[in-house]
Amino acid sequence: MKSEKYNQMIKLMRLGLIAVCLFTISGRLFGQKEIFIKQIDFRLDYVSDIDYENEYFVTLKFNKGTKYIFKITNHVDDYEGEAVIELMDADMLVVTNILGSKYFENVSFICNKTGFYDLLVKFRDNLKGNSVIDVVMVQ
Amino acid sequence: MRKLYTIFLVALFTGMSVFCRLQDDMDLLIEKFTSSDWAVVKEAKEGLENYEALAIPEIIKLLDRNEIVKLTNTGSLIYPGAEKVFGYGQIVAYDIDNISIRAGWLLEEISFQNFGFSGFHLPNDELMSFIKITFPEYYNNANNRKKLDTSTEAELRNVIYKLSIANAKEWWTTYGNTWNRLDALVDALKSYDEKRQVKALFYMRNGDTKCTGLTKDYYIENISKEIVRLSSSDTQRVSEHARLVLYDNKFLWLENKNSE
Repeated sequence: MKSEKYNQMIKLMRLGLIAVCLFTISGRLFGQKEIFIKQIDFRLDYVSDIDYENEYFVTLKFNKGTKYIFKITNHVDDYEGEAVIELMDADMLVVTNILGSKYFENVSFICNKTGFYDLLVKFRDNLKGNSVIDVVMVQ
Repeated sequence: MRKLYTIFLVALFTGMSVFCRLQDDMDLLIEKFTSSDWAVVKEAKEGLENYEALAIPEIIKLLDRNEIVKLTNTGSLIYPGAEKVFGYGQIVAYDIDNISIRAGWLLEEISFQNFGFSGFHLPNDELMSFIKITFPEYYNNANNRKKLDTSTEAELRNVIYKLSIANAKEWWTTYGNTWNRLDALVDALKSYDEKRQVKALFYMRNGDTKCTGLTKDYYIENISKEIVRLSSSDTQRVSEHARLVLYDNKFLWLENKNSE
């Protein structure tokens, strides 16, 4: 009776082990890949009275159904500013990395309309800054 | 003689009825534009924009309505009066709860001008530089400068408010008789004001309201060389917009405008 229970437990443990192995292998085989699209280096040494001179502006084409991630690295060469990104579809803000007082160094969005999007980068609190933004596509 | 008289009367009545219908439509649009429902305001704005020069005298009248009509049903709209920001949604950088600023916003959108209405809501530390850049004549006057240096935040906002309205009214008094939206578009592109350039380029890329006479042929003959010039502007926001218009060789940007 005891050995039957023991055998069942061993069986269960084996099954569990197999499940873990399969999960790990499938994750490696079918896991999400990140494809690098663009790197934006934005350094602002002088804060101008003209706000358009304090921003980085670029237009990117994104495809429907694809997930994109923006990864921000701030304080390059000890610059103070933190980069704020705004992704715009005409006058519609699609995604930003700041919400109230919360600041995010990684943000993602799933594109639901193929087209050109304007990416705006500014530094928080009108500070000088030096940041790198990597735009990657997730597949 | 009698026949001529009849024709004259028919023409007169037709003209009067067209004028009355137009005025009724305009009155209705103005009523909607000054309402509190954001969806209604947005629709009325588009309607008024489509009237181009005809709508401007009515909008100018609204500049004297310094009253707050708080917008409702704004959803995810991001504007200075928004009570909640969700991190997405349409951005309107004007304090459009105030009717005169709402009118200023519409005037700037129709005319591609920069009267200064977008400065009213700026943070305190940006007000002075906004006045310096947007109203240089006022700022460079020594007496005004003295006054500005000792002004409170509310007083600086009031200066921006009054100067914007004065700018808009003066502009219409000077150019109102001959103004049309197509020339205004070209003027804005040729101007040295980046805000005006961006407004014009943004309209070309994304606008769907009417600009009578803006056709492919007109673009090629009169606008394309300005777009080429702007595509190498030092201001990225200008050069990127211009480049996208330039690269659009199928003229997709013209499709939504119905401007024949």
